[in-house]
Amino acid sequence: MNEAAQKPEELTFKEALSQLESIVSSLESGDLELEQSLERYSQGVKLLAVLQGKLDSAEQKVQVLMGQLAAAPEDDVQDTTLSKA
Amino acid sequence: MTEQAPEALSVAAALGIAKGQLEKLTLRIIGEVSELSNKPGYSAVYFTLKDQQEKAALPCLMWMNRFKAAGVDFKIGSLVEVTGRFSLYAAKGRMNFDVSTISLAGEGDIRLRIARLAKKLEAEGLTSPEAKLPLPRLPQRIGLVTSPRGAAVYDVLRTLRRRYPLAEVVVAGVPVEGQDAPAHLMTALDAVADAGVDVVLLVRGGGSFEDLMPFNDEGLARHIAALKVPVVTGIGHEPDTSIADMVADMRASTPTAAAEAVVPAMADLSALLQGLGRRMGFAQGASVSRVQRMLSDLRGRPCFADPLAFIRDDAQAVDELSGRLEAAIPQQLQASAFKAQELKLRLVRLGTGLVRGEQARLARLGADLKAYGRTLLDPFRKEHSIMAAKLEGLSPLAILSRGYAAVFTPEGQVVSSVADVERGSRIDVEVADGTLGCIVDSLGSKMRNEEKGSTYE
Repeated sequence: MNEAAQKPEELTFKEALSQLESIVSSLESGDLELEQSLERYSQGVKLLAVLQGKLDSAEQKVQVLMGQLAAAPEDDVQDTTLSKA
Repeated sequence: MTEQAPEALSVAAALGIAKGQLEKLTLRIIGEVSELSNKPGYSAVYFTLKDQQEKAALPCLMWMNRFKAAGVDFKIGSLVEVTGRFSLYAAKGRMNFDVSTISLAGEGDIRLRIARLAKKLEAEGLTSPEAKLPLPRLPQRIGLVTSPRGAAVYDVLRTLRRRYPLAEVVVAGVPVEGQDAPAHLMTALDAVADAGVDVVLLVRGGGSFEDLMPFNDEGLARHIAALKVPVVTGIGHEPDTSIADMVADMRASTPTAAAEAVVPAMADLSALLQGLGRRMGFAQGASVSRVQRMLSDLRGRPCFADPLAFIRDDAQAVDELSGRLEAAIPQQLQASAFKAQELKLRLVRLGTGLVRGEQARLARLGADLKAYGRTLLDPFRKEHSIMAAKLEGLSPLAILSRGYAAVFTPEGQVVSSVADVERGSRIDVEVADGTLGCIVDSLGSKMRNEEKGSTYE
């Protein structure tokens, strides 16, 4: 499995998640050698930690290509001014 | 020119005159409903009619009893045909059009056009489910095309941030109302698509039917359908479906709903991860215990329970062979020893014969060698006696120098006796400094001629 060449930290969330899912389903298939399954398992645990870390530490990035956004109001303020479109 | 100016009127009187004039006219008007106020408790429904092209707006009212009787479900954007007359609300000096009957103009010209466009696009397959691109499950970059002002852009950003802050948002803020809006929207769609987004949100907040008209533009619709990136719309807050909604890959009712549609919620993701972790642990545990079960099954097999069982036959064969070997080895040894003894005897016999032959040959060779040795010495003996004689002849040189002479035959034989020469023989008489060649003239014997050596004394 060539995905293994890449470190979990370097994967995007999506890549890491799909790797984790394929690891889980390969483990569930029960077709693996014991050594192989242990290796996958530890890889899966690593991926899981990386994914959870990414979720916990993510901050939204906004890139403005066109137009000038007004300074973003605080969420709480925004919530009260919402309905006027 | 000196006509008297008319008497000044009171406001009420003036309005009374106007009202009288206005209310004489019963008119039929076609226009688009642009504002609508129909609140429970009001005695009338208020709305504004305006022309699509020219800038003209007419405030209208329709008494509730007539409105209910008409049963026409019109709303903002509806093109309606009304009959009625102008009326003046004297208290405010405001002119209204008092609608007595109302009907939808066709279904409204605009709506008709939109409906035709919808049919056309549908016929081309642009709205079919097969034409719709699947949405990415976990978008990494999300394009946002909307007005940079207003609430919609922040509704979307906030929703995305709360649900899935991992996604980067690429915003293209453009005017979403007016004649040029479709062109701006198309440019913005291209810009975010070029920026490599996985999905595009095309949104705007609620507005009048007319405000949303750019989203019914045919060019924009075709552009959305052709875009290589999936487009999710969230336009307005109404149940109305715009053309953009129809050709979009997914349609949400509001900007916030559109944002929710393209990203998973953090909580769902956490639950997903936890679920995967559990499944992984369970699967691994199962695979370990499967191996353990296999091992213990194997441990119970006869080969492990009685490990010698399957070599028993072979062991027997080995035993038998080993017995045969033990029996065979001494026999073989005996035979070998016998043979060795025999060979030894033969060797001795052969050896003795060989030595005896050699001895005879050696003796023969020794005798030959002795005989040959003797013959080898003879010439040397002869030489030796000559040399000795010479030496004897030569040794008395000192004597010669005292006046003695030595006599030799021409052959070199010392003449020491008269018997050595004859009369007339030539002799050489050697003196100290030379040789005298003489002829024997006479021979005379001395008494002691047998003592040869003494003649030289």
